Amino acid sequence: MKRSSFQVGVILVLSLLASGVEAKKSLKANTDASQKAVSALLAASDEPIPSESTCHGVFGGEGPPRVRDLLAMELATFSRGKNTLVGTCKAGGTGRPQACRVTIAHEFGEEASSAEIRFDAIEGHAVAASLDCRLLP
Amino acid sequence: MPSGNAELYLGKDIVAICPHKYVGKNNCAHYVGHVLGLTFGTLCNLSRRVEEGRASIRVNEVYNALGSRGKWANKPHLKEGETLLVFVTSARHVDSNGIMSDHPQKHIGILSGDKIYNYSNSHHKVVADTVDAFLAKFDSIYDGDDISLFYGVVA
Repeated sequence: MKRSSFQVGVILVLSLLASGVEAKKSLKANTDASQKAVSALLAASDEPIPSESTCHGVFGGEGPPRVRDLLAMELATFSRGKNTLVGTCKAGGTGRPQACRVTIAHEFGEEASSAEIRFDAIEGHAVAASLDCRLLP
Repeated sequence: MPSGNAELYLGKDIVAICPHKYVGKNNCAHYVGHVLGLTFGTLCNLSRRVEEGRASIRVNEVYNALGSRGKWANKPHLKEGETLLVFVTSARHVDSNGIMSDHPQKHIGILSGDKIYNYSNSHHKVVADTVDAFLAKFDSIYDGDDISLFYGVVA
């Protein structure tokens, strides 16, 4: 069946609109997922970071580094520039912890940093022993 | 393959430097790691599918791993085959034991001739600055009035 140029035009416009809607959807942040992941991490904020963890470091707090020291240091960069915080938790199956990830990123000209924090969570609480970080720079 | 030649990559994007095409949010230590073949601490190609050609990506992990390091004013005369690295951060972020903290505001470059070759994270390429310009660039954006240079020697 041969389509008229009008029909082709309508299909083209609808296709473009549809792709635009999809693009917008893919750009949408899932704040609920981020909130749950960040909440799990905050629940462990007072816990010390194990020395063997890749998250162990010097974050400016007193005593052994705690989760909150790491978070405070990274979030303090948000006072200016382009900043993002994204979190997700995936179900780990029956009786298994959730696998979560929180990514904090900051850009202000030459100042650029990021922290990707992975951890297991049980009942909304990050397991400190599972903390695994990729910090830059 | 580390070349040891900082100037060789002038103007290049990290994608053209890293054999694993790893691009982090900040690639200053990553660039230095590949030029000098440094493998201190966390390395690029985080998936570890290929071990060969991985390089350091963190400024403080490079600094803290060097045996000869300290305040810029105390930098030593280099011996044959040594390379001088230049670090910039707040003096508060290096403790009395000479350990640099994980604070995000830090940067690294390689001194060659009278220029510091370093990776510009806003221009996504290797640039060359004089020592004064390098310090001024980061002093203008980092917090505090104690932004300082530190050295590290790679043998």
